[in-house]
Amino acid sequence: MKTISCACLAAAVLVLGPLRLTAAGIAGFTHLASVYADDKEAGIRLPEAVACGSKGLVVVGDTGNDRLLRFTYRDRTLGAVGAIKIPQLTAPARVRLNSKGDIYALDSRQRRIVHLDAGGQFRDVLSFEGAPPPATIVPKSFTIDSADTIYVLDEFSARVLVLNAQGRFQRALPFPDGIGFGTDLAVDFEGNLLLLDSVRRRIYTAAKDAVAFAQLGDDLAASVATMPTSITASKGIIFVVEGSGSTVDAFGRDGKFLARLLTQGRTDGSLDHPAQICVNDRDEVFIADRDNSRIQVFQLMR
Amino acid sequence: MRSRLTIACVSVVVLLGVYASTARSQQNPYRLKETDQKKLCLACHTDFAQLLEKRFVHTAVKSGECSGCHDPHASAHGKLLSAGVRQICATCHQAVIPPNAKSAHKVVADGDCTKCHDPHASENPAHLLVAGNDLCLGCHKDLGAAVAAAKFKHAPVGQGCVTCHDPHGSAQSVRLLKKAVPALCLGCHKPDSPSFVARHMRYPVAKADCTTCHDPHGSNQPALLLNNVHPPLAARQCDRCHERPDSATPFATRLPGYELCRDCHGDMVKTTLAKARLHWPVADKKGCVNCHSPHASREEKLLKAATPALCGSCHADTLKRIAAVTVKHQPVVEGQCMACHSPHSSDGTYLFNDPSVNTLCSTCHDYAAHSAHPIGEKAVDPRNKNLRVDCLSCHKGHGTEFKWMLLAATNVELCTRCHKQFAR
Repeated sequence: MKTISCACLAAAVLVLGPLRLTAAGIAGFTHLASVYADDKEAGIRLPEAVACGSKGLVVVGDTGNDRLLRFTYRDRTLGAVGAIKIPQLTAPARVRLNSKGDIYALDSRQRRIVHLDAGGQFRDVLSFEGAPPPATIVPKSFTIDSADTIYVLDEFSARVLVLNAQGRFQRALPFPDGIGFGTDLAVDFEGNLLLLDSVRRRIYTAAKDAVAFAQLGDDLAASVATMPTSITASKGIIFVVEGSGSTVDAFGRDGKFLARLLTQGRTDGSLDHPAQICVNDRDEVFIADRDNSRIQVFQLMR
Repeated sequence: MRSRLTIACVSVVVLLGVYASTARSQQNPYRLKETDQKKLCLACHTDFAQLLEKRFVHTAVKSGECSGCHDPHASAHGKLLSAGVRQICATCHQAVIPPNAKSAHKVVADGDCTKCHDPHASENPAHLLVAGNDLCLGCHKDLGAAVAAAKFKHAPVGQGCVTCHDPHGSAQSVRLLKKAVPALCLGCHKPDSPSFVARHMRYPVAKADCTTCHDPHGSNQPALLLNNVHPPLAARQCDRCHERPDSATPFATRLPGYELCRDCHGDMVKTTLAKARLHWPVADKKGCVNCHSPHASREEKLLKAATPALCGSCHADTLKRIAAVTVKHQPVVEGQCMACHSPHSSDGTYLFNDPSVNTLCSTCHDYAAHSAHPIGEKAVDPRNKNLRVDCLSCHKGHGTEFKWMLLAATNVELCTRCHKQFAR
């Protein structure tokens, strides 16, 4: 009897194991909530950034109002915590959180990355201490991995700067040959760095300690109709946002196209020139829906 | 023995007869009564007699092989040709376009041989319809006008386009050039001559692309420089941007990216970098030279190419969408991307020239007099309290498939997008 049970279990593992591994399927996004205003009912304006943490913390780059907004997401409701408007930060175009909840925001007007603590207090501006010349660094985007390593897309020198949690330079990765325009970075579930090329419509990847990028899968042109603007990854799925196309495309870990999610529109659940996207560990998806001047929340259905 | 010899002789005679008969039928496949085709055809086509008087007569015509190209009875091709022009010409003139050609003349690739050649006879060598450059400039009219208007001429152009170009195709280079640049140019211009060295400020340009600075067809600038010249180049101040000519890397720029340009264009760079939204290529590794030619250009503002081709080199998806719509915005039709967009930076979305859509549109359109519909900062979009009614609430900037570039085919469909209570 015991032998039969073991055999059945083994058979089940053999049959279902590969299914689980290859079932990077995605059913779609279900709309959960939309938020239009801060805690004082002042409207959000042209948000281009959103970050989400593990404890329900959501930070929005309210770009048109030159400020950050903090929310907590619980029970399908984004509860406004408050606004952060400081002279050191204008036009936040990307926001990321580290494992401690510290906030990092890219100021697209001053082209620098501002660091705030979890309470929203200004800490410092990333100085890229120790980075090799040239001294000019133009951060177009950045991302932070689970170990709080910071990856900065330095457009000026066509490279990715890898900084430790304290912001000190560790190493640099050059953009791959033939890149059209490097526009955004993400780190996937295995710690691989992803670089989005918006002109050639490609994703490049570099393993954690790799010294060079390699293309992931084929060109995205067949599945991504318009210029992609941002990228994120969550549990085996890579999400690419098409700003002009007002949609989100999902890809498997091998770069294979899975699905196109959401369409252009004004109603809740549709998008108009989305910017940054964030997926938390509960598969809740937050999208900075720029031209609709709102943040939308979806449930990822796998 | 004798009978065997007789049989052999008869066999030889019969075989010779068969061979002669076959040869005759090959020479005269249509079993014409008059075997001289030229004579036969000219009996009706009398105007051809005059053609045959011309200086250069096509060999096939001269030898009277009309049926070599024409079917005297019927044909699926014009002028009773027995096949398509390309196929017929290629019967004798194979490999007009060289194998592995790097460029081919479109008319040749399309098989339009008769656009340049008269297949019967001509007063011009190679049976060309027109002699010399006039043949080429008959199609390349803009180039012809530019060549004629150029204050400074390039002598080989006067000697003939074929001095530098192969009219059929080139295995050596793009643009039908007989050799790649600079090898083609160096055939005449010796890079080690003192004059050449001095004029190029001792920079080792022998391996550079001459056409990034010079217009080989003629120019209004001395030294055949392209018509719009970057002032430091005109002043021969190469080392304002580049390292010294005797350095290990003479063509390297003194500073990277936009920092180099900031030396002279400081105000412009400062203004650009002060805006909320940067056109990021401005600040990438190549910087300004993503869009501008740093030496000289045919385009104003030293642009690398005319818009929208320049913008489309990255924003191909936008050009594709524009091509698909039937009602286009006039600046889009004219390729004037910069009528609405600021190519360096902007405080508005879409790099608009003004952050306010209504203000931007009012540059050309009097939107206040446009209709009684509320519009502007006080007109809240009924669908979303964070949005205001602006021109793009009803119109699309590049164009749509509907009249006036509206977002919907009918007024009802358009209006009920916001006024949902009236939707049926």
